Amino acid sequence: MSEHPEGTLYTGGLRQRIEQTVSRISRIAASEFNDDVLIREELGIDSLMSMEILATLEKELDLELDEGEFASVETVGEFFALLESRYHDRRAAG
Amino acid sequence: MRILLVSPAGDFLGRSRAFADFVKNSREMRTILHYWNGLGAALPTVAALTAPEHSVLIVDENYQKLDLAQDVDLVGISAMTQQAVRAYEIAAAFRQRGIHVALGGIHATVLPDEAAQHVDTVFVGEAEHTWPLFLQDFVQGTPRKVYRASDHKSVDMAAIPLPRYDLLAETKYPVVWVQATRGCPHDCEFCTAPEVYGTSYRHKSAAQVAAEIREVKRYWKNAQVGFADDNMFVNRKFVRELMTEFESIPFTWYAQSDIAIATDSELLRRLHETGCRIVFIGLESVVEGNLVNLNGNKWKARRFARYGEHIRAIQENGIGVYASFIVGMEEDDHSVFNRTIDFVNEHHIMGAQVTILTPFPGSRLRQRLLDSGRITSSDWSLYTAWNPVIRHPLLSAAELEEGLLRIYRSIYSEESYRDRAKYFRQVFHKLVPSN
Repeated sequence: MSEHPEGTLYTGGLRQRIEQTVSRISRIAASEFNDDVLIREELGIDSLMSMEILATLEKELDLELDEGEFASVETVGEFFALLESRYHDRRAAG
Repeated sequence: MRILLVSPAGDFLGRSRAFADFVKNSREMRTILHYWNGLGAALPTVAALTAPEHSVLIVDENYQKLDLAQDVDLVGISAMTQQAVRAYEIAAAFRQRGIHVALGGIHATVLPDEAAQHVDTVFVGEAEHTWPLFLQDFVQGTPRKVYRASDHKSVDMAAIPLPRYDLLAETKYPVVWVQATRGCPHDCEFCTAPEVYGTSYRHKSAAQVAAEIREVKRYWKNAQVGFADDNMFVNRKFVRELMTEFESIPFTWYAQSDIAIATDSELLRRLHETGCRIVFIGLESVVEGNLVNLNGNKWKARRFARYGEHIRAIQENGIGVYASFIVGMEEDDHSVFNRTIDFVNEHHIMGAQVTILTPFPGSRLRQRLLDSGRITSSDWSLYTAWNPVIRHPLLSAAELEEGLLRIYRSIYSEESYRDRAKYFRQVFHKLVPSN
């Protein structure tokens, strides 16, 4: 999966993996993570929880994430898109 | 009978314009206020104590508009001291139309004679025994002026019915507060809890608390649960039972505690596992001398030297400490503001609530400051703990307000936030198992 050239299949797997991590930390069912849902207002993910999520994903996915970038993220869809983008950037950089 | 229960509008931040401007422009302060709010357990509990033949409507003025002209037979209000002025306004409006008004909660409990001047019936102390009795009397046309919990046996919290959270299900609360325990063993001079709940420490059953959380999640599936208890982890046997119940409920939660939890690493691990994300701890002061006479057994003074170590132990388990500090205490001088800033930053404290020493009615502090003529206002709307209502030996009211604002500007600056974020990222990195 990780060698899929277009990333489509990989992205599906990656998203599932991210969802599992976010769900485990936030204790919110992954079925709630629809793209247009507001992360803070609707899911109730506060700043400490977001720090835990980012730190865990960094370690699990071997990434370095800039928290400043996530400050402007509003929705679940934007959050996952940013993570997936950072993941692919990291892989492209080797 | 149609019963309206009201939580009056409160001003939780005081009247400082500069402070209001700061909050408006501070992302972190807005976030904190967003989560440090929400639905309290008092009125849903009173609704649950109401016989089913009556209809009950709850209006939380902090989230909803109250229609003073609505057609009801009885109004019940629950108010803290800073809500008292608004509670009396509401009472006056309904009484003008001949509607009976009852008032309970902290303020009525500690100042029943004052409350009795504004309402028809006053509740002193817990309402579990007295509210149903009052309703019977009211229906029979013989309501009394005062109902005292102390006239009845102590409330068995395990017998408290499931609060009627359903009555506020349409309101979008970020946090819903649940009460698992009552009482606190520390008897701090500024606190009204001993007067309100007595000195014994009591709790609901673990299964009962779990049922309440499930009820909350039924209506607010992603809201966080805050425990309104003054000191939740005193009875460790009960806490272990609670943690077992919490394992099967997907939720995140906050609680208030003393700092003794820091020495129980197993408890801290279990708290994080079961969704506890923040503990609110009253550290009270960064000036050791202020803690010496705070409680009779010097409990907090004896732990002061280990505050930093204890905060680290809690936060290294992935639980943020939201520390409470008071400025304007007896031993404070002009250095207290910078010392508080330095302490919060040095220990990477997740968040801090800093307030001005306030002599709340019902506290031993109030009597001491009254005796020495140092209370400058008894306008309850100023009793937010953010407005200065005392005369301090060294610090003027303006200095207290300015110093308070300086603390908030510093500890919630972007720079401080980044430092804390970096610290917690390291904490969480360590907590993630290696692949």
